[in-house]
Amino acid sequence: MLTADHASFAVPGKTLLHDATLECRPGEVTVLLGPNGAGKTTLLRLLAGLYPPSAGRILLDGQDLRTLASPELARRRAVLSQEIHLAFPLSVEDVVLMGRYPHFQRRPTLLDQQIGRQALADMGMSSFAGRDYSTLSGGEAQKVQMARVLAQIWEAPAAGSRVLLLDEPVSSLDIQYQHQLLRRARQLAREQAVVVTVLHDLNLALTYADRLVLLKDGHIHATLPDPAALTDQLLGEVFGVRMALITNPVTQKPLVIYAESEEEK
Amino acid sequence: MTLSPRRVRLYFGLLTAVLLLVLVLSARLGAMALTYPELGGFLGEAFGLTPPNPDPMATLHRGVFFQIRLPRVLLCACVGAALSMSGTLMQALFRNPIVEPGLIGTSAGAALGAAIIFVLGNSLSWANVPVLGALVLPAAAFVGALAATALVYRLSAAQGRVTVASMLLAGIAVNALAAGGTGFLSYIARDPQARSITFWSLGSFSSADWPSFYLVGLVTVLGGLVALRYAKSLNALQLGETEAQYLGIDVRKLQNRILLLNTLLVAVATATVGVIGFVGLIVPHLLRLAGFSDNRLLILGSALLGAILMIVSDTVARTIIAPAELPIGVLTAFIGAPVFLWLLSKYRQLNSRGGFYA
Repeated sequence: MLTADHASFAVPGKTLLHDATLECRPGEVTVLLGPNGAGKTTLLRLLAGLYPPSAGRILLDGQDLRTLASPELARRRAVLSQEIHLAFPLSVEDVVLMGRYPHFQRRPTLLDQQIGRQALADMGMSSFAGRDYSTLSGGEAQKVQMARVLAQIWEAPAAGSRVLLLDEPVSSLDIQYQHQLLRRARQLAREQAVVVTVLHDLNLALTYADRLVLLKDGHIHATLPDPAALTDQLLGEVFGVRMALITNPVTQKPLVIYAESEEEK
Repeated sequence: MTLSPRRVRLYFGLLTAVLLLVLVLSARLGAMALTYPELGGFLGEAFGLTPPNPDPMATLHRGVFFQIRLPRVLLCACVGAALSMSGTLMQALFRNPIVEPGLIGTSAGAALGAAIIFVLGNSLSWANVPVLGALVLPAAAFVGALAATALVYRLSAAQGRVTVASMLLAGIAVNALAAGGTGFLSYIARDPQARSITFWSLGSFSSADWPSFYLVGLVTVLGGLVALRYAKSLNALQLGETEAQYLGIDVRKLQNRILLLNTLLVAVATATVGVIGFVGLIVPHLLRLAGFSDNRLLILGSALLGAILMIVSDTVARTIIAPAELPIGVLTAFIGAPVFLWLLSKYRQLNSRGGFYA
């Protein structure tokens, strides 16, 4: 379980996140939703332990992240960021193997290499193994990075849960691969990992979320343990745009449509 | 791209063989050429295999070989290795392929420290007071290098986080300041002092002796071993500081350690032989062109290739206009700058194709 306990984060002159309390459970996909500047990425970075909160705590299985050594944390927690560029040419294979860095000392073991290959295969990128990373398209690069973070937390740790944090993981992907990536993330959650992702597409969020967290102006506006509890009113409050929830005629799941009419603009 | 283990063995075998070859060739060539049988004889004597040749000519040649040639060639190898490893470390740390050791003020700071000694240390001169110079000059250069590097680091460490862009800008400023200081000192200096500053700022191995080799050799070998320990962390840093942190690396600690290591390598080398540019820039590039990308291999490879290039450059510098010597910094600039320009144009072409450093 990954918990934010009254966590705030401030930079000089501005508080980016106010008093956030949140439980992200193993087995669940938690989706952070909200407009730009709502504090989604800040919250995700605090949960990742990139920097400590200015107030409050982040706890992983009850242990304060500040007291967890970073190599130890890196074997259990992986983060997929947006748009990663390399300074020098590196093969796709080498990039994926970097996910195994917290696990081996000097040289990757055969197991590390096997895991790297499997992670690449999971993202349908096996044929790219020998390619120069810098020649990949944005979407291909994103899939390679996903393979890297999967490789990082491939095995369940002896104690405690694994954590996968995704920051807008599908923004550069085609619709087919958006689903591929999120399905893989959900599969990891089903293996008792904690999965937290920032998403912009409300319908993708409704499709994959087990728990929805709505952020607005640096506050957690609402936490919905059941995405079906999402209402038109909540969406309007958070995004400032009129939206309506209807039932998808094919899947019978909720579907968000924009309901802003011309006159209201 | 990724080198196969066979390729890696081939390249390292080749580099080692070439290094041994240039070591022997360089020890032989010079104002007084030695023959291969002589070299073999000296080595045999050194290891107690053959009795010393009592011939007076042989005694003279033995002196040239052991007192002048051998320490000089070995010092060249160590300085080349130190500067090249430093270049590799800096390029990895700054995630920028056109960084060289001089960029963050290290070399300029060392030069300023040395110039202060030249001018303010009365008639103290590196060339004609070897004993005192050997102690004071390296210390002053080291202090200057450390001060400049620390200043760059402090200036760029706003709010406790070092960003590469601010560090590069601070490096430019501190370099300009140190260069201004050196220029001012050489302007107010009396003629011989000014000559010393100029001479030193162009680099020369002519003062090479065993103590300087021991010092630089020790620092280079230990520095190299320490650098290898950080190779994996430096690889991870290629993903960016944030991603490296997510992989469990303490990026600030890594930056501190690498900067200190770099200062030590550059300052000790610079204090001993003066400012020699471009080697630290070119060597990692050449290795990358050959497909090296893992920092572990880059560090090892740059030590070998840097040693080779420095020995070759020094051999040319002291034979091309023998018995006079060309300052080696002039030579490395003449060779290095065109190579650098060629690399730049090559990268631009590759960039426009959407590859390589894009």
